[in-house]
Amino acid sequence: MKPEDVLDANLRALLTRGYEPVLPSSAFRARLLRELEPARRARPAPFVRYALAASLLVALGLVLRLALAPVEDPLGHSRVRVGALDWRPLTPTEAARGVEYSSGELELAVAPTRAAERVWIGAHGELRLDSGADARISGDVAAPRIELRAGRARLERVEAGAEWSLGCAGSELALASGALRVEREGALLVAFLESGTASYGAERRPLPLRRELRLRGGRPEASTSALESSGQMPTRQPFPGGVAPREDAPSVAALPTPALHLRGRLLDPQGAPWTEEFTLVALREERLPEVGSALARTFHDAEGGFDFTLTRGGRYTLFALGSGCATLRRAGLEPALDAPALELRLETGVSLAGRVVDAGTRAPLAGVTVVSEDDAPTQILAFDPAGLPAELHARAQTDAQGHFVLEHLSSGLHTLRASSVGYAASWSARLDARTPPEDLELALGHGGALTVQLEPPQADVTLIASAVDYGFQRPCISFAHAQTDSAGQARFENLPAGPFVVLRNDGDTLTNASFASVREDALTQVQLGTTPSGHALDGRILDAQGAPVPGADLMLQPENERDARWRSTRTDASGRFQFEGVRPGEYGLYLGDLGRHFVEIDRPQVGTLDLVREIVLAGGELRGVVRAAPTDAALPRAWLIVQQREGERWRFAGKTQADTQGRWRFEHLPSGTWRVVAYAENERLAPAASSAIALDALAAPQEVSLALGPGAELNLRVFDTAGAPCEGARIELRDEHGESWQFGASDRSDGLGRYHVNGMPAGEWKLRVSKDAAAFEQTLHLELDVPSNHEIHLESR
Amino acid sequence: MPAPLPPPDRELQSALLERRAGAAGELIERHLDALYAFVHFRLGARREEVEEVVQETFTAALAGVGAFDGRSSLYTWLCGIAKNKIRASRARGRSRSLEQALEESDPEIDSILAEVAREPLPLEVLERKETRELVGATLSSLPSEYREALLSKYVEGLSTGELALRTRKSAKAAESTLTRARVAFARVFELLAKRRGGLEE
Repeated sequence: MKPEDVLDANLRALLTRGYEPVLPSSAFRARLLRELEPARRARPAPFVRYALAASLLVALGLVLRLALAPVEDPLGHSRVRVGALDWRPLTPTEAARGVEYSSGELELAVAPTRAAERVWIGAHGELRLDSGADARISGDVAAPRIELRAGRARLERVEAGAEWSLGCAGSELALASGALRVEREGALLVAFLESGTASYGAERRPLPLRRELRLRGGRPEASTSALESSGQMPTRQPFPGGVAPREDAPSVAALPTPALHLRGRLLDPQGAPWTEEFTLVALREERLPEVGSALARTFHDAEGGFDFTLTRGGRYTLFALGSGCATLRRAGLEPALDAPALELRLETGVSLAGRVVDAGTRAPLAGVTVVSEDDAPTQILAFDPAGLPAELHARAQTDAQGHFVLEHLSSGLHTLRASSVGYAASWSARLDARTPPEDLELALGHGGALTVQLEPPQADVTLIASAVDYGFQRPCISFAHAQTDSAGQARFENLPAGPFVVLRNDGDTLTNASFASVREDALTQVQLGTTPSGHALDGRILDAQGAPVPGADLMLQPENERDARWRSTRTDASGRFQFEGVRPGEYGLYLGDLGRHFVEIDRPQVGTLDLVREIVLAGGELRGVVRAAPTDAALPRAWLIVQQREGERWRFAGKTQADTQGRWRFEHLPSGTWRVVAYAENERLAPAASSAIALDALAAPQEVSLALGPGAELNLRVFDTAGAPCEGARIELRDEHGESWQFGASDRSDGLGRYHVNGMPAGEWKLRVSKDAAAFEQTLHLELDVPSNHEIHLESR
Repeated sequence: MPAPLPPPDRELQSALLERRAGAAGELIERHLDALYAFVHFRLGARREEVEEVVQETFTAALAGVGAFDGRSSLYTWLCGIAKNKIRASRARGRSRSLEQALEESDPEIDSILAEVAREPLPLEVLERKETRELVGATLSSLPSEYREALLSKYVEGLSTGELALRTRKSAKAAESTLTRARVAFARVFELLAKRRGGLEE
């Protein structure tokens, strides 16, 4: 070996194996920034000192006011004063979770170094004060009085009730429901009603929805457009989504409450008004891990008319349920003050029939509940049939022979779920109700058990175990819940084998969801919460211009496959995130939503110290449209992975799903060599990989063409050396060039020893199946239109 | 992942002299990690002492930023201040030299490590704690440009072309920096290994 090659090899080995970053703790970093940055600003330049001295006498009144104001904290803490007590800094818990207000009087001043502070007003809602804001709260917790002295604030109520009053610069507002943003600018108060109902002034004039209103001394000021047309420019940034206020807003009495509507009429399959009673379910689109709560209302009108009133804006999916008809779903609806009328036409629907058996004995199972997830007016479905919503009409129960018939299903694709007490739930493949299979069968096994240890231990906490669907075949999220005992432990039984996310159900669902892999007939143990022996991974996400990225969802996953536990969190208003209790090791940090669209943005190595990362999102982008080669039509809902070249191999770096027009994109990619691989969601098409792409992160987005050709079907059933179905056998498939392919989220056989690929390239494939000390190898010849079915019997090596 | 190119040291110095908001924070954010490691390996990994010296270094730097003449990088200048602070700390009897700070190790290991430029290192040596300490101490002694080049190449896996893109240099200039970084690493690494193992002639 040449000397330079020796050094190169040694360097590579030393820096990959022997390099452990030594970094300061996040606490030290924060302290350093606090102490050194404000300290420099606090020392005015010499000429300013003279100016202050000269104005001291004039500022006597100012001194008096300053004495009453919170003492400036050179360390940059927000400060609070409760009742008659002195001002004090927020405790770490208050800074992290918010300050509680229950009665009496509370004043809060937010430090300029803090993005925001929260005040929880009992269980009735919250007040958020932005950086530099100052407010006082008093009165009954159910009807508090808030005085905004400086800055910006946001009030949000959990539900409508007695009014919350807000006073600022001589203007008065009253919030009856919803959410309100306000900003004080000297003697001016700017109000922006996000949702709900509010009024201003003694006449109780209604606050316009989603339009800025400027009040000076309680009276509306000229609108922004009026200011601009007179040559005066507004001096502040408008609230997002705001427009110029209307001058002719009617009084409160003329407006019905609440303010938002979904209106229209329901028609029968023949197009005539639906004259019988019917139910509508509205489901607000939420961002995981939050899930929408379904709101159900019953209507009965001679013309089939309905007026579904809502207090919160946003996008909704509306379900219409009429007796003897299929559930109708209409997504993407936005309730409004003057909502346009909808026409919803029901259809009679189609039927799906099948059978449910015991997976082990093959005996028919009676009394099993089978539902269509696509026709379920909900986002979440309990595993326990007793927990299914009453509005879920698309359900049936199996008879003594295990048979079921689901009637009045909507035409289109369906995923069916069968569940019964004492068994693990089971799902069908995606079925087209217009061309149903003749021998539809679902098999229920006993599943696995999961115990969760909450750290630190806490009793009577409700935990949720939610099934993860990497293949995006299930419209609903299936879950079970359990309560922790005195030792902080909870147990789930009969969970279907596969990946799960475990969460707390007490509002703390945005951080540290834990991953668990449930196995058939086995017990899995997982911890939820902080590992005392672990370390913290802190950081900040910045965009390419260096601005913090708030509200970004992050997933942290160990690179070690044996420990596939991942965690999730969301960046705060200043782009900061924290994972606590992280064991040493190498990790992938991914940006995106929880599981459907994400890309790797960092590979932190957690060593023996806390790790702090400042991550600047790269600017590279790949995008395109996936098509089906036979027809050149766009392929909706195809899913794609992006890989980065690393030496001789391609390393997984992200995943996404194309939209209904087959469009997709991967953002935040650094410069490098990449490729994209596309897979069809359900169609029998073989995956397609792009050629290697040299991406420059500073250049414009690159377009990538992908066309999926016809694919061959492969079905394997793996048996162990004892002849029993083998779960967890590793399936390796190599093409004629020797390249290894993976066709799904898992390369393992399921609990019944099955492994299925819906579409892969036809031709010769080298198959290797292995588990522990047993293996099997074979060359397969796959053909289009002819399913390839094989029974694999592992042999000891 | 490419980081945005920071403004030159002179610009940051001007911002610091003018006491512009955020300038001190920029100085800290840019150099804290590297300076911390630099002090860590010279003080024997005692966190409180390391933090004290690092804080004193930044405080002194902010107070005396007018004295930075631009002949070296800001980081090198900070290391110079840190060395003085470390010496002062030693005078108080609270810290050790770099070699003392690196824990006692097997001279046989150090003799193998001293051959880093000539012989492939065995796997069992690579995974020793003494080796990791030596790697950290060596990296902390290198100029930031060399350190970043080595970490980008060997830890992040960037090609020379990608490194050139990140540092906005030509491919040839990036290759040249990498070559110098390798040589510098080897020299410092060998030196430290020999000193620690008592192998100096």
